[in-house]
Parts: sequence; structure tokens; C-alpha cells
Amino acid sequence: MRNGLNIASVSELVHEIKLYPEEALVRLAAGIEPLSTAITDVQVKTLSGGTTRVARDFRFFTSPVGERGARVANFRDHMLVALGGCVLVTFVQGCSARGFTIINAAVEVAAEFDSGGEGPHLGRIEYRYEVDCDGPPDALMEIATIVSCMSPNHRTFVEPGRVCLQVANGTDERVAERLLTSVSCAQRPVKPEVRRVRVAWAYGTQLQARTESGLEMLVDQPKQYLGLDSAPNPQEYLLGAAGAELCREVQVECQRRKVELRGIVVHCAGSINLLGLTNVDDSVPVRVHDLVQRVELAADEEAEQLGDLVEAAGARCLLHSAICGEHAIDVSLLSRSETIGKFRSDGAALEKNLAELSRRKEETSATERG
Amino acid sequence: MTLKTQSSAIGTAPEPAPERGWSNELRRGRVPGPRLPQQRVLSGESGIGTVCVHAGGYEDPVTGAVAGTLFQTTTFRFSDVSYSSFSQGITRDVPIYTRYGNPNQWSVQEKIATLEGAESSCVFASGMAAIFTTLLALTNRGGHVVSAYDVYGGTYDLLRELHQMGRRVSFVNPTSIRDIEAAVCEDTQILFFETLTNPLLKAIPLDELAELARARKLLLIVDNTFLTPVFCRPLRHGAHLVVHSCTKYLNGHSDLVAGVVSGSRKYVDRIWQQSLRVGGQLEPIACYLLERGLKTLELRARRQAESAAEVAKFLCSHPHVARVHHPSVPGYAYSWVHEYCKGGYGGLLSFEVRGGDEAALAMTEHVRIPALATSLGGVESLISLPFNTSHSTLTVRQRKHIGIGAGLVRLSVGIEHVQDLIDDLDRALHKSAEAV
Repeated sequence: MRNGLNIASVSELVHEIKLYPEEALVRLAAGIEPLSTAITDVQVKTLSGGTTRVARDFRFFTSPVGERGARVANFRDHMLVALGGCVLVTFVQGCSARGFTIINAAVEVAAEFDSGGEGPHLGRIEYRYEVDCDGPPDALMEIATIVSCMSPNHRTFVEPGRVCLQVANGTDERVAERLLTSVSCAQRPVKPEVRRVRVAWAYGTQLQARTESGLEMLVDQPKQYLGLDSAPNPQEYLLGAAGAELCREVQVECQRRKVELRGIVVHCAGSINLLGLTNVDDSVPVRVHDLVQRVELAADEEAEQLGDLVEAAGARCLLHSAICGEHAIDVSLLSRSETIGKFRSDGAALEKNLAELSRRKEETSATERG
Repeated sequence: MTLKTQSSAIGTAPEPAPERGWSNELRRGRVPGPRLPQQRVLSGESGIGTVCVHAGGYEDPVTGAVAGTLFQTTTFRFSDVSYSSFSQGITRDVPIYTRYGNPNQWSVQEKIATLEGAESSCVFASGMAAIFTTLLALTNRGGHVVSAYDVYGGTYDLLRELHQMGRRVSFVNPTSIRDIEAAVCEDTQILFFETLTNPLLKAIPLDELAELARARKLLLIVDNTFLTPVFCRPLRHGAHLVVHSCTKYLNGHSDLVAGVVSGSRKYVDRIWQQSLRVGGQLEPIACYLLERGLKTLELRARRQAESAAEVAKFLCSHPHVARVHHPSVPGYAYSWVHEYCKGGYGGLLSFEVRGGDEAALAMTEHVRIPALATSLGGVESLISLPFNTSHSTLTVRQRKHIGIGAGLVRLSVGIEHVQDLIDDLDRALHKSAEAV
């Protein structure tokens, strides 16, 4: 085993999904409930991995309003953990496929938010990889570039997507549905705030994240996906953060509209397809797909009225703005404390890099056929 | 008939290398096994008797020994191949250390895998070790298992304790697909059932269970100890994994304790990895003995099943027997067993002696051929009373709930002359009736 990752198992998984594409679809979910106005409880739900299920007995707390120094991380921190965790585990896997031995690897993720404005604002996002590894610098840069194509969470932020809002009143069987395809983002923050999270590689797929205020959390994969099964994975952090933010915004919107809210549960679900992120099938987009936020409310209003309310709340969510919009991410890579390269990952860069990956894949196939 | 020797011992290595652009360029897919090049590999088309004798057999390249070779060693000299297997993550396929694998384990595993129609098997030091390791490997903390309230007592005790490892278990009526389906919840990962229950030989609706597992994305694990692959191959009916206590019919000589799990390599590899952490590997000499025992499995199993059916028929008409439990008897309630069980129903049966436990105890004291002992599946007949042996950990209420009535006797029919057994039972039943 190199880097705590069984590369034979990675290889076998890749070959399995080539033969049985149905095994590549992973559906994830989180259940979110407010514990108080300041703390939201996120329960990671059983995931469906191909034709089997993976129980996920994880719970984390996130604060919709959390200030620096709080004992519970803010959902923005969880969002950054989701981003950093996804790119770092993808980077470790890329190094392992090439047979490089990692001594240390970490990613520092920073993003600009607005802690004073009315609407969501997601400004500059940047990653800084810090890697101590026996791979040559140009190969490490190449891996970082491929990671920007193969990390589902990265692609979810860089490319535009959509979120389906389903709203149900506990007393009513009808469900109102709204599709968010764009969320207007405040261009100028009222009170800009840059938050940072450092995610460090520990073993295999296990990562240790640390917020600026010193809060720590583990990120890992299920044992079925070669992890130690010790913590939520990056997509589960993303779903939890998105659900927690929506939960909070719905509560605020209810207050604004003077709707008596007796209870709220958000169920946030999404999926990833391993065919794309392993580059087995480059026609399968790499991102978190089928994002659905199901909001169950206990209120007197009918489902359709509540649908309008949740849509308005959803349109104020930072995570929805991130998922529906396009963002550029600045990436730099330090190897043994020296910067060895930088690039900007945006829609155009992605297109170019994906074309190059396709060309190379075709070339490799032709060589093998020949 | 196809008898061939595999050309390569080691599955293709994944070969990580600087020129691999991404993980899609890695080389290894799952391969059956593990196998050595010197092992006989038989196709699934071979007859079961041929598989029993030849599959997995190690053909010694130096001496040509016909009866196989015992590798009674804990460790193997390192080579470039073994060093490479560590970095490539394929240590299950290479002789390194007997806890990881041993040619005797691989021989017997190959034989059982071929019998079950599986890609891979993993042997253990007992059936319980096989079950525990399988359940631990294939569930996650927070996972849920649905099983039967009348599984084997040892399994029941294990399942009752699984909550200590963060797993939940629901116990249901194993013959009711409706009850089983109703117990499935969001966290359910595994359906665990025995093809025939112990000791009442209730049959599970195997095909419906497989359909439920497929529809709800669950793993179906079947304990097929009682029927053996001679009469039933659960994997062909959609089960994901099949487990056995090899102590019973597979070995058949009451001289070793072993267990096995068989299925696709995807799952068996995970179980093997778990076994490295919890132990329970089977000793080379026990593997050697088990492989020898398996060579006569078909002969023994068919003889035992035929005799059991004859004994059951005899007991059905006996004045001192209130009820007989065996799939061959008229009015057997679980007729779906005939869909997946062909050619016999195993050598175990149970019956209720009129006069209750006292009469049953008296009867067991008067039998001369069956040994009054626990276990089953050996060449010698064994007789026992569930209430004070296999099911003694259950309360009276629990036994009643399962259907274990007063006077229930469990009989494992061996390969003795069947008329001798019938005469012996007849005499013992009459004597016990007189005594009580």
C-alpha cells in the first residue's frame, strides 16, 4: 500500500464500473434540523452506492450564523471543507495512480463572503496545495490540473448547475416544486470577510480539516470506497452545509412573512457518478448531480404558498448561488515550500483541460489497440 | 469435462506508474481466486462429483503427489513478487504469511468456490468466525441487518450482540417475505437467513428474498450449511454470499471446526481484509483435512439425504411420534423449497416425541447407533434435544415462539445402513414410551 490507499482496489473499482456502469452511481443525502437559532443538526444518511447501501452513522453541527470563535463551525466553513476535502482526496488518488509517495499534503482553501449584506456573495476562491512528495514538479502540476477536472465539488462550483426545491407541508400530501437555475449574487459585499480552512492529508482518504478559529473535523470515505469510514465525505459536508443554510433562510423568511413555523426538516440529496470522475466515461459530467432540497414544514399555509416562501429563501442562499453560478478558482501549488505553478480554473480552462484529457485517453486506447 | 491448470498465479497488478494519466489507466480488474498456477481449476460445467474430487487440487510440480501437499508453514520467503504485492495492494494473491493466505487455504477455497459457483471463497476457523467477519466487513456503523428469530443459536447470540459494534438487527419470521420486507428500513444493508432453519427445517423463500435484496439494494447472505451445494446453490438464485459451517456436511467427519464464505471477489476480498484484523484464519492442516473431506461430499450428502427422507417417512407413521419436521414429509408447509432445492433436502430432521421432553430424553438414552452429541453432518448419526443443547440459551417463551415444542428431538442422519437406524429408533421410542 502506498499513501494508505490500496491502489489495486482503486483499479478494481474502475474496472468494475467499466463492466457494470450501474455500480458507478452514488446517491448521498443529509437530514437537517435546527436545534436552536444558532445551531443546526446535520445527520448524514445512508448512501446508495451502485447496487448496495452504505450506512453512514455521522452527525455534525453547523451554525448558520456562527461567528469566529464559536464552538460550532459555520456552514461556510463546511462549504470550504467540502471543497478542500474533495480536491485533496482526488489529488492523493492521482499521486497514488502514478506511484508517487506522499510525505505530506494539504490544501488551504480561502473564499470571500459577505457577512453584512442581504444577498449571497461569493467572491474570490483560491486553493493552495502544499505537497511534499517524490513526484516531479511538472507531474504534480499536471495532477492538480486533472484534479480540477475530476473533483466533483470543484466542478460544482466552477460550472453552473441547478437545485430542485421540494416543499411539503407536514399536514398535506401535496409537494410544491421549484427549480433554481440562477441565484443573483451581490457584486459588492457590504462587509467582506475572507474565511480559510486548511485540510491536511492523514492516511489514504482520511483528511483532517481545521478552521481559522481552530475547530477541527475529519473528512473520509466509506470503507466501500477505500476509506477508514471515520467521517462524512466531502459531498456529505456540502449537502449538510447547503441544507443548513436553507433551513436558516426559510426560518428567516417565515419571520419576514409572519408565517407561524412549528417545525422544519430539510432533506438534502445529490449524487456523483464515478464513471466521470475516474475518467472511464468522459461523456458523464463530473459534479454533484441531481441536487434536491426537500423542505418539510409544519405550518398552516398550503404547499404552494410555502413553495413560494422556500423559493424566496432559497434565492438568498450562498450555497445555491455557488451551485447555480459559475466561479473561477485560483489554484497554486507549493512543493517543499516552493511555488511550482499557478493556474485559474474556470469554465474555459476546464473545457481546454477536458479536451486534452479526452485526446490523451483516445491516444492511450489507440496504443493499446495497436 | 474440462480440467485445466490456470496459467498465472497472480491477477494482473494495477501497475501505478508516472505515465498513468488517471485511475482509468490502472490495469487490474478483479480476478477469481486466489489461485496458484499448480492448482486445478475446473469450469462450472463439471459434474459436482468431479468438482469435489479435483477442483482446487494442488498438483505438486516436483513429486507429482496425487493426494496434495500440506504447507504447514506460517511464513514464506520474500521475493520480488511479494515485495511488489505490498505496494500494489495484492497481498491476498501472493504467499506471504499464513494469516494472509496459504496454498492449503487456496486449494480448499477454490474447491468450495467452484462448488458454490462463486468467484472466491475465504475459509475461517469456524462457521461463527465466517459469519462474524462477513457481517462486520459488509456493514458500516449504523447499519441494520434483518435476520430470523430462529437462526442457529450461536448466530442468534452473535446478532443480539451486534449493537455493541453499532449495528442493529431485526429478527423476523424467515418464511414470511412480507414480514421480512416490513423490517427493511433506510439503514438496512444485509438480509441474513439460513436456507433451512435449525431445528425445525423451515425453508426461506429464497427467490423472493433475492428479488427483495435486488430491489432494495441489500446484500443477501445465506447460510447453506444444512443443504450443501449438492442440493442448493444460493448464488444461482440471487444471493450475494453463501456461508457454511464446514464443520458439518462439507467436512463430514466430525474431526475439524471450520467455516467458509463464498461469493464475488468484490465482497470476499473485503471479508478477507476484515479477517486480517479480527483473525480466525484456518490452519493449513485443517484446510488439508477439509479438502480431503470435501472429496466425498456428494456421496455422503446424497446418502444422508436419502436416509433422512426414509427415516422421516418411518417416523411419520410411528405411534409415539407426534410430528416430523423435514421437507420430504407430506404437508410440509414451505413448498417453495422445491424451487431451489434439487435432489434431496439434507440429512437433518427433527421430530416431536409424544410425552414431551421427558420422553424425548428417555428415547435418546435408548438409541444405540446415533451418538448423543451436538453438531450434525458427520458420517455418524447424532441425536440431541434442542431445549438443553443448541437452543438452551433461549427462554421457554422464545422456544415456543419459534415453534420448538416439548419433546423435540434433532437427528442428524449419518451414512449408516438406514434400516439399522430405523430399527434402532423404533426400539428406543417404544422403550421410552414404556419408561415414561
